[in-house]
Amino acid sequence: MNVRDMRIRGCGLLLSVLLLTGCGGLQSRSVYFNPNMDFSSVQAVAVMPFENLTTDEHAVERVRDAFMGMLLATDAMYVLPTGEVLRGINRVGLRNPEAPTTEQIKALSGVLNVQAVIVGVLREYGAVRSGTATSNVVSLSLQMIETESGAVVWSASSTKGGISMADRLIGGGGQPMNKVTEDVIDDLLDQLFQ
Amino acid sequence: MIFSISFFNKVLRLLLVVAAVATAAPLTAPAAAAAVATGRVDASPAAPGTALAGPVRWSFAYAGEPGGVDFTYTLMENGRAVLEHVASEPEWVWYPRLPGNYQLKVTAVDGAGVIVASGQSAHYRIAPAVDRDSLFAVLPAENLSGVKAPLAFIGDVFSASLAAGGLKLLGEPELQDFLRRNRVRYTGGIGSRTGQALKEETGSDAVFVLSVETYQQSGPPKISLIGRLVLCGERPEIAWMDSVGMSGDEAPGLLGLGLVSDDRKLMEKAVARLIDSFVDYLEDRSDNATVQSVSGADEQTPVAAEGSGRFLPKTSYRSSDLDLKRLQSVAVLPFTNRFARKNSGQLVPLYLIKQLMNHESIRVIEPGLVREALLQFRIVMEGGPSLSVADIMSSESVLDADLLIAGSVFDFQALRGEPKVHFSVQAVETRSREVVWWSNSYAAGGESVLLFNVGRIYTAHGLVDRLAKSVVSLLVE
Repeated sequence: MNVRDMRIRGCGLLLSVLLLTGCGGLQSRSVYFNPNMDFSSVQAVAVMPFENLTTDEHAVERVRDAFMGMLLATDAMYVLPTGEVLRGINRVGLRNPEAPTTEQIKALSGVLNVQAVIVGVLREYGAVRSGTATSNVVSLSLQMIETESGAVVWSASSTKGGISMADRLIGGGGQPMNKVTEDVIDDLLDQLFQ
Repeated sequence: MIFSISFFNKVLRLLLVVAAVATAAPLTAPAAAAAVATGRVDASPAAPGTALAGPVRWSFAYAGEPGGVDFTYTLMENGRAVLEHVASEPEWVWYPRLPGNYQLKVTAVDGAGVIVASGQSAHYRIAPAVDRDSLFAVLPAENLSGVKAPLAFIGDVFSASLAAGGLKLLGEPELQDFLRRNRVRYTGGIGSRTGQALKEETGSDAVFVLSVETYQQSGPPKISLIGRLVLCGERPEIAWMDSVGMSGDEAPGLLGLGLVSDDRKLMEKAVARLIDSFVDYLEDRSDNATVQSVSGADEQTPVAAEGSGRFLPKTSYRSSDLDLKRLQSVAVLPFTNRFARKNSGQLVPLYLIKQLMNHESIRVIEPGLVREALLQFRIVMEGGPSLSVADIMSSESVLDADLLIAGSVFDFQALRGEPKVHFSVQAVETRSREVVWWSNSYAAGGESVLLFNVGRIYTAHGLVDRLAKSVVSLLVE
């Protein structure tokens, strides 16, 4: 193999790496499962209001509503309606429903009759810019807490959207926010039911 | 000779076989096990009937052993099944809601699996709930546009058009006097007390409720109206409902000759379309059981055919336990407004009600009654209905609702810029106290538009109407 061949191969490899890392935009996931948890015992869950770390105060309700519907649509577990969750929060007197304590979760399960609650943090929701390219990005992390023990039995996070290589080269604003939100939730549900 | 005897035998054999087949009815099971044989369908009272006036009792007279037989009643209109009811009695009480020419077909199945189907009954005509001799009241238009709108002008044009069509209207002084006397301030619907008082004190048979969804004076002018007719009485019922949405730039035509820049002209056009729809209802000119819509040229296009599912919910869930044959009455609660335009939480339910009204099998509870119940029990639904709200609404003494529909509105952009709508719908079955439907719908006016604005939707009305139609068709089917 001469030097010229090595250069050509090196350029090809570099191009492949760039394409692979650039084409998909942001793709990030991490997941934890409690090995002792029997997830089939979770028949009903309450999705608590998510904590909002973004500057968009409206975003968190959109993401929570979409997540609740898509989780219900899996038909794997029953998701309590938002009004019922709010009634439980008021009955228990939760001041900070985004981050309930173990005692509060146990009390909530007595009122709502659920086997688990899901809490979440919306870490990013909005447009990102790089040069002339703009795209939407959503980053969400969720935790499922078993109500009987108060232990975290599942934790996952996902980030979708962002500026891909195609966005940089061709332009365009990336995917609409609703689509990116659905992608993030799809990814989280995949992680829950993997 | 041999030939003629053989031929005669063959004919005789054939006749014997035909006779045997003809006498062995029903064919599906042994004749000895049959509990039903033949049947005839009768209706009481005799046709014609009137929509929302009272029940029609269908009875299936059949020969055979009584008991252990299941009956399926299929109500047809123009050869299309519009309602199906399963019972163990040979009698079914039907409460007609929409005018039309109906026929009934009954299928009976006994314990041995013998199936006997009646032929289609004679046509049973259901006349509209009101006629030209009825007295109509027109409530002052409700402003849900979120901006200042010429409500008096819209109301005047609406009343004048109705009067020009030969309808008897309650005089304006009498109506104002009634509203003052009964301290009626809310004109977006009628509760039981107002409905009864309106009937007793003014003699009105029905009342028009008009809601202004969008109003924009210029650049271009836009107007969207939702109208419904509610029968007066202790239990007000919606008899007719439709909506219309127009934008001055939606049909520019050649050299922009079709552009409308005068908002008054556009308003008159919109009101005229709404009245035309009502006249169609009054004269029962619709070809099928559904109320014809005036919202747009392609309004009657099947959901699936419109832009390859552009308006279908992006994600949806329908519980396998949801059985609409069991459900009779549906209450649509105000939606939670999640930072969308002012009043959008009241608007989206109206579009869903309009679409639900097209289904003969569903009785939609008048929004005025829903509001009355919410006020009576001081229910504030910050995050949507809880199960205790469902219990109250399902109570026979309150609304007697079998299904509660609620939801959230996230976007309702109707004025400047591209129209956008985003909402989610949640349905709770009150008997099981479970969520049986959930959907998430969103669309923008310029989506899927590639060339020459083909497929562009110019009003939020056009979007929400189509989205609601998709949701209801999936929910009901």
